[in-house]
Amino acid sequence: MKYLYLSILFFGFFIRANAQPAAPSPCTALGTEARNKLTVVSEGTLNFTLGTLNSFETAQTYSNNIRLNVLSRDSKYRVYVAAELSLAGSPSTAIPMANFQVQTALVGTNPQNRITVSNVTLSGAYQQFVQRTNATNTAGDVFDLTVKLSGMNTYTQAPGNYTLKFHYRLCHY
Amino acid sequence: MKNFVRTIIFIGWIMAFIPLVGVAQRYVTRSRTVQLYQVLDVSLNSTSSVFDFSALANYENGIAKPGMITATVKANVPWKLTLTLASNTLSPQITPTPMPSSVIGIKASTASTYTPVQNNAPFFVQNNRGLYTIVFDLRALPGYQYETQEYLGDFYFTVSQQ
Repeated sequence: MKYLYLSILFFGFFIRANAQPAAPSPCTALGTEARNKLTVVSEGTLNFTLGTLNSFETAQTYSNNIRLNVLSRDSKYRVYVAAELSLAGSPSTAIPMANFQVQTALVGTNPQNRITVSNVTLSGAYQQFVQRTNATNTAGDVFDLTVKLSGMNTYTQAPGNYTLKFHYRLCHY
Repeated sequence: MKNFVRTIIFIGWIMAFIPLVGVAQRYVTRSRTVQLYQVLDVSLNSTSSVFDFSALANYENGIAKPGMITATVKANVPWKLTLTLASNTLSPQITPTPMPSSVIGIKASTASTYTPVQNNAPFFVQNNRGLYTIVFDLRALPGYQYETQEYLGDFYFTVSQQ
């Protein structure tokens, strides 16, 4: 019987610790990890603060909030983003995910004609924001992501801290 | 039975571990904290600020000004908008018969009855968090007992957390 309890505990913990949105399709994983990986190079501000009336009234832009490196030596690739929002403390109204937009910029002198970037409005499901039609060199591709927050002038969310969790996923296709 | 359960757990570990290795370097997650501070703001628009008693009918019926004041409230907490005055008596206060501010009534345009404007029992409206536009109707009904004069009153709208 104790094995049954251990089993339930294990699977519960695993599912909780590794929760992420359903994988996009197609999403294969070719090659080794050393040759195909997604890396966070650097990060900007970790806090999106709305502290004045004006910050609620106008869109807030957090420029170059995260820099990603994509190494994909074995295949053409796509990169996806999804997000989820959680609230600390008492129940309240969540910030709509559609209030967040991610704008992508390709950094450096990568082959522009092979890479397509797009801006996405966040949701709980993975959305493609980068596509490359061939494999990368050993340096990989670098992208700066800017986060834009707007639509907060409804004042329907209570004061407090909200946690916005980004999921980034590299897929071969 | 014990061996069966052990086998299930072992297979579970294997099945869970293999995909984890496969996506470990192809999936990253990062979190940001969105900090919202308290907002309480009110702004006013007024179509007019004068009640002009120039005809007998004005004295008989009073003067009503529908939509005379419009307040816009922005609040992310439950709020209360209260109307107070500098004084319960309109200026000039040194007259044979000072005019009380309560000759002026106010109501939300959606309401049916006017509330006399006074500090003793201040008029207020309240609601939950959000963005609101509230239209107020005002009415002045002084009657005949006040001398010919220009009377002034300062109205203060204050928004606060409930």
